[in-house]
Amino acid sequence: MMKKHERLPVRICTSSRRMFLGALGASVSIPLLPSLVPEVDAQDLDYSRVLFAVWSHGVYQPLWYPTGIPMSDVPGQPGVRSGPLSAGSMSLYMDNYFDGLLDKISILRGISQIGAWGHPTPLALSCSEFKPDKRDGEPIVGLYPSSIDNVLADSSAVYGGASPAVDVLRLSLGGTRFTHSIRNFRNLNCLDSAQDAFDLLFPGGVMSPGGNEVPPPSGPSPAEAEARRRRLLVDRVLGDYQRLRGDRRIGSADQQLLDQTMDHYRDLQTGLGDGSGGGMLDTSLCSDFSVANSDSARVDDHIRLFTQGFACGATRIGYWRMRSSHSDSEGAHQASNGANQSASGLYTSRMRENSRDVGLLLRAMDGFVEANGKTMLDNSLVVFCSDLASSVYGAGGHTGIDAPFLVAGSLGGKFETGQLIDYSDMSGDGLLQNIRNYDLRGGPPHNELMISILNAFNVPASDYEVDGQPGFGTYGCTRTRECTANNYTQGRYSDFYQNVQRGRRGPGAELPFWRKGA
Amino acid sequence: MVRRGLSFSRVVVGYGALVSICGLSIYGCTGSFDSGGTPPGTVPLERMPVEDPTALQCTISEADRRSVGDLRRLSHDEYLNTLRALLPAAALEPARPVLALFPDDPTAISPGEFDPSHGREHVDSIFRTSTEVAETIVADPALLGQIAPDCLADPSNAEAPCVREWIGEFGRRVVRRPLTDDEIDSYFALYQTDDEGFTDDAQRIELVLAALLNAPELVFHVTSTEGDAPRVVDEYTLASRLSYRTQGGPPDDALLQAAETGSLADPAELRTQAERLLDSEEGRNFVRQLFSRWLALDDRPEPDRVAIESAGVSRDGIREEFREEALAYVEHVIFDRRGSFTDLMTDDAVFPGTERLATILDAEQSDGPVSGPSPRGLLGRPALLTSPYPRTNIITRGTFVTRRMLCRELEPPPGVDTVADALLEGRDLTEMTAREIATVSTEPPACAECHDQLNPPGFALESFGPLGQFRRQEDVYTNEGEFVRSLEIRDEADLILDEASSEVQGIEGLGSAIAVSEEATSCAAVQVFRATHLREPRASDACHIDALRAAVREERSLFDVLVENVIAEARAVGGVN
Repeated sequence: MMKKHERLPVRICTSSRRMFLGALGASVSIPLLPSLVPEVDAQDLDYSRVLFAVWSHGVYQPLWYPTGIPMSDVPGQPGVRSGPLSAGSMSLYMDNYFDGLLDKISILRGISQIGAWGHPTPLALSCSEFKPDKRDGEPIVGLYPSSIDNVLADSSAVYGGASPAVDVLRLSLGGTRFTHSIRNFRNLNCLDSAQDAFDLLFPGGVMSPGGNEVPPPSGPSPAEAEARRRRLLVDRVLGDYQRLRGDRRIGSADQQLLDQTMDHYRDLQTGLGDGSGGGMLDTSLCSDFSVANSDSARVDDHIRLFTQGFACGATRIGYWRMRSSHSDSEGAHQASNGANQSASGLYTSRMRENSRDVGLLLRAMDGFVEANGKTMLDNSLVVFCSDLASSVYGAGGHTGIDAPFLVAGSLGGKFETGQLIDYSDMSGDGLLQNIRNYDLRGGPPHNELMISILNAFNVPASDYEVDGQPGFGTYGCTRTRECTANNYTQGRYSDFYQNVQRGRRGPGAELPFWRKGA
Repeated sequence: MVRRGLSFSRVVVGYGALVSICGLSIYGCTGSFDSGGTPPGTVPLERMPVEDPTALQCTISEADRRSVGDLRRLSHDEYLNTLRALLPAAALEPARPVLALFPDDPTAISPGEFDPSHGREHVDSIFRTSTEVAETIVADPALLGQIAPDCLADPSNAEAPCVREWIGEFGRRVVRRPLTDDEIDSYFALYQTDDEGFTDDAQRIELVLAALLNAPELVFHVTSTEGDAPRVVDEYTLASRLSYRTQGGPPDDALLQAAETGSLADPAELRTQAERLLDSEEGRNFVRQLFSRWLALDDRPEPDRVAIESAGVSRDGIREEFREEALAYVEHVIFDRRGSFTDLMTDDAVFPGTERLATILDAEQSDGPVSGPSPRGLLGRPALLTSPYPRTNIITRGTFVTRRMLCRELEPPPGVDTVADALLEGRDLTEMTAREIATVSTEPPACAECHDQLNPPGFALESFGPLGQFRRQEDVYTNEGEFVRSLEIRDEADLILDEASSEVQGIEGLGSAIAVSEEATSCAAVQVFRATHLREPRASDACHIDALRAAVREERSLFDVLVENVIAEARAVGGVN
């Protein structure tokens, strides 16, 4: 029989709703129905959740960061600058997928993934495509801590003694081939089948309510309402084009012109989402919930599983592996590694799809108002990130400098939102590098971002320090030969190892300004 | 070719840039001067391309000439003009950032450069502008009052008949024809949406307004036809074409009214309307845009530093002043003088609106037109004569005349590299005039085949320096601005026009010869067509081109030629009796 936390991406919850609520400090003793929700003291519930949405191979930074944002120094924080995000400034990768949500996201710039080599970040971060138990055919040894999703899942500060339906819900849009998150040297694969995930979340088709049940929202959130209005508008315009297209005045060549225009409107429509976020979530339906379980509906299914799982209290931690850039059949891996420059357009397309899907997820979360009066997105933290900073063609390797982080939600007010925050000028351990005329400027190590999250969840240092080594970060080497031959201090990977040591951070090392310390 | 020219320029200080341009401009003569329409084939006549649009002849049948034309998007200027005509300026102001996302079009007319479809950026801009503008207008009763009846003053409490009335009235202006009852019903149904994204009627008005501003018939030129005669356009289409080709914007109320009464089918009424629209501020702006494209005024080079300093003028903003001077001249000839094509090529008016222009044009500073020392015509505008080098660039000037005024499209020669380096090697270029340099560097037969056509117009313009200032001698400077010597000017030239050679003297001779040549008058007709239709003429446009060409050759005023541009099209599509 499998032990807890071993190999399964999710774990079936056999505990009762009352147990779960008890662990969260709630005090209800009767079956919870929507009409009885007022009896729950909403303030006693912990609505904080975190979700890591991760892709592989980083970005070409000029296509990722917003432009034209007026930046100013953050008072009292040397080297930190910030400026408000605005719709017209969003990048090609992000486009308008986050329109209406810009006051709920922040984009962090200048953070370095210390110890960058290969795809190293599982050592500290959930943003990983790394397979830790094998690389280049040789077993990997070393001292791996858990990645942050598992640190959170194992910490008493998050679940305490409770057993949610799944401790970390790991879903993948791009197959299950790679490991995405590690715990005690083990692979923890993701699920791509919505039905498999559903079966784990809702054994027997019934979800054990988790404690956040509230009456269905009386209407959509402002963001969702705006999305719905715009969606309706695009639908109408497409209908107008379709009618004109069918007019006898329009010849085949002209039809093609109209088709092209309609395609562009459909792109807009995709960026706006389906506007059904609020309607989708209804915790009274925790026992009456299904997924389409088809390839075409996978994104919607995953969003539904995450948000409904959060809403019903089935889990508080999510890991969403976005479409991978690893598949050579798509050419994007080649593009990202410099072998196929012509595939860079495909890489851009893939990045835009990922942004679009994360935008849809955020809209769905923002469309659900929870019992504490805040939206699920406000209560949560979503980290959209990659396992590398920049490996897009011409990058000259897999670098960790100036890694992309889009963070959404404030975890109930614990993080600053609506800002581009530039840490490039903070003294850090990153290196300067120029990639395709773009200067990568290393700021603080990403471990500080991790510490900020761990602190926000009140995770004590003892829950992430390993073998008496202080702080959170990466530890040790990645291959047998590095550990045995060089004792971590010499040779090709010595710098990696030493950087790893330098990057480790303790509870006092938070990212200033973004982390509000609330 | 370019690399070798530049290499030479590093050797011969002061003249290399000149020579490199010669290298760039050595074209092979692969253009056609006498080809007629493309032989009939399987391609529908209305889409049949022609090799040489200037040679189109109106010999096609009545039925075939009635092409209804094509769908194409509004150009950048047309879209902005349309929004300005439809909406209060204050409503557009907040949308300026998203309006700016609408891509600019090519600044000069050249075959095939205008893409008739909307790209992603166009759609983004249209969509964002529509929502931004709709939100602004509905939130401000004063703005709403400018596009809606009084009964809609409180949009959150609107009565159904009022909304329908507004949809009908505003929609008519948006799609440039009356909406059908079904269309009004459809927009009203949109207004009545019960989607829970809408909490009040004001938001629903906003939705309908935004939908109208995204209407395909707003952002595309769509041809409407009458009854069962698919090749006969209706009066509203006629009105639309009339206004966009005289003002670059949508029909005004008077024109829509004329369409409604059917009076546009009367050629006299059509002409009256065309003259009214063209003879307006919007018409003048439209003509400025037309000539900017024709003459590629936005692509003119920045003058050279040495040329600026030796002329004793300042540099900042001089290119823009030159551009304005050229357009003021065009406007003067067309609107104030009601001048002909010959007048355009030979008039002596100059516009020395600034001290700097007065210096270069050798005239007293004046806010209006004054007579210059000698007729400059269109080709004598400083904007068209500016050289980016210390000395005049004969080949570039000649190429401009050949392409823009004679519509000869010449391709770069295959496999022919410049031999200018070798031909000029060892010579002291400070002892050679620009004319001599151009002549020597294009002397070999392989070059001369084309340069016999390209160089002469440039020779004839040699009485004007690199800033377009009149000169009696050529002052030679180094790249560093050091004066070397003065050389004698020669501006006679053997022009090849209408497949014959003729000797002309200076700009007056050049302008007069071009004005009466069949090539240039045909070219003028084609350029007007290109600049107003934003596409190449096709076989089905033969009669349209024929009519324009005749108007130019009959020495009718260019104002009339532009009116004829509308009348001829109306005849071609069966819109007038």
